[in-house]
Amino acid sequence: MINAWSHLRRSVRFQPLVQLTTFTVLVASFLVLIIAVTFQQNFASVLTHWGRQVKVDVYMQDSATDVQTAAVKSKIESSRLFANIHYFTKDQAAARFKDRMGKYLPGLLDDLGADNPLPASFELEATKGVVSQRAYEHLLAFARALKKQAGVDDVSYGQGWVENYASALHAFSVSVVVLMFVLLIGAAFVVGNAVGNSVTQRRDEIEIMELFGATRSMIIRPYIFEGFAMGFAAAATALIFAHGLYSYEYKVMSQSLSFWNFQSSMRFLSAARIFLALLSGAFLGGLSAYLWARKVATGWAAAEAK
Amino acid sequence: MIEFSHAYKVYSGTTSPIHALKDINLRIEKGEFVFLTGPSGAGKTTLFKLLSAYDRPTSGKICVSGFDVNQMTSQQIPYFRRHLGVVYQDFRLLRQRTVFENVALPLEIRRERSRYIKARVEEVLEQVSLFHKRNEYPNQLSGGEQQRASIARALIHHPNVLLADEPTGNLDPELAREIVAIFDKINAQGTTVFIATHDHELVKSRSRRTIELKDGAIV
Ligand SMILES: Nc1ncnc2c1ncn2[C@@H]1O[C@H](COP(=O)(O)OP(=O)(O)O)[C@@H](O)[C@H]1O
Ligand SMILES: [Mg+2]
Repeated sequence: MINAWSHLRRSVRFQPLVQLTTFTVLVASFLVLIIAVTFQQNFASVLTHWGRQVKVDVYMQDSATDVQTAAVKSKIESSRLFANIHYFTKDQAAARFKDRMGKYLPGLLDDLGADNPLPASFELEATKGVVSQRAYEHLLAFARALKKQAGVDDVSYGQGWVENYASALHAFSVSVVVLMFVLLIGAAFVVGNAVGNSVTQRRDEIEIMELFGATRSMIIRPYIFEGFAMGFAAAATALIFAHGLYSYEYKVMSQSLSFWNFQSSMRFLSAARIFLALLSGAFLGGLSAYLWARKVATGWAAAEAK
Repeated sequence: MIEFSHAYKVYSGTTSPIHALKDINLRIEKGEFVFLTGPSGAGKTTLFKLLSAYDRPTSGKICVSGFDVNQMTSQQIPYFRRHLGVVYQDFRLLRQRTVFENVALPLEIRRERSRYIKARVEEVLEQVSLFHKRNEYPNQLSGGEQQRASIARALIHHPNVLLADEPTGNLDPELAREIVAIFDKINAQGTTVFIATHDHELVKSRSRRTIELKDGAIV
């Protein structure tokens, strides 16, 4: 390890430009990845946030009997799909309507008592929200079944909106997986090449070490350590930049777009993901250095030099 | 100790193949002091490269210190190279290390103790009159100083065989004599010494066995 440290010190001292270039390329690649992950995570959580607000209204026929209403209620309860189940009678619906709209339309609603057009209804909130295609299909099936129940007039769950939402969510998660995969491959390639370049720039060092009897592992180990340290440092730097960007976005969201309340569901990467990012960075750097140093240090590096 | 039988080396040149060595047969016993002479381009450096497992022969057999150089496994190569002390014609010093660190390299590779390394490096640097430059980097040295640093590195680990490719090429006559005196001394201690040179004065000044190369063949 002492050798590895002095190797690292020499690299920084004698090849500041190569090392800086490599470092910059690594930071940039990692930054793209981290931003993509953070964005995906927050976009998904904003969507989830909206999905949680899905409300279902079950409108009863005026002719529905108490027995039918009770049957509907127990069916809703036993489905376990909903929390906060509220029943509003026709009179309650009218009172609530008057309460909300009365001040805009004074007098208009005074005679409602006699001929109340508002139906009795159940208002339900989906327990886990509609945050996946499966949840959406469940909700849909339940709504259809309920509509056929005696005494039920109609079931409304913001049909069009929820439908679009569910398919958008599905498309989004599929494309994110594809995008992440492409980005990851690209970053691995760029990082590998940058580290490889910094290794091959020092092939004369590898040649000389070989000529004086250094074994392959003696030669390669300090490069692995260097790649590992470089990957770790680049990932850490990228995380710091990404956090800076995130904080800025958060401020903008809560100041200019506070109406949407995005910021309440915004999060930076979790501690586990930060740890994973540092580890992956270090691993990628170390692995690239290993592969490249191994390629140069064949035992005949001096003879194979062009 | 050193044996070549029917060794050939062909380089794939840009236009046509270059026959750098043709049917080399020679034998050097343990403890001998031998000069390899011949004009520039005769194949001296190529012969040393094959001898030190820097490069592989195109065909033929080369044995050094009991190793068959062409049959060695890749695991054996580093240990074979540690038996040798080599002064390369182009020095091959590590640019990023001081004179001290360059000379210490063979001992570091053998994982000697640092106290021993320090004492031994200082001793050898005194021998080649380079002690005062121990903390300089190769690009801060003259050609002659770089040559002496690479000689010190070749001697540091008491090799069985010392190969020196034009070791006095960049030295003035007085320093050249001092360096050859060092070679004489380690030869007297039992090391086989093999020196390539085109310096006829140097060869004439000693009555030592001489092998002459011309156009890749022994004459
Ligand atoms: N790596 C190489 N590739 C192609 N030709 C080479 C190479 N090394 C040496 N040669 C050729 O082989 C011949 C012998 O060269 P060398 O062994 O360096 O001679 P010397 O050391 O006696 O001056 C020369 O013609 C030289 O041009
Ligand atoms: Mg030569």
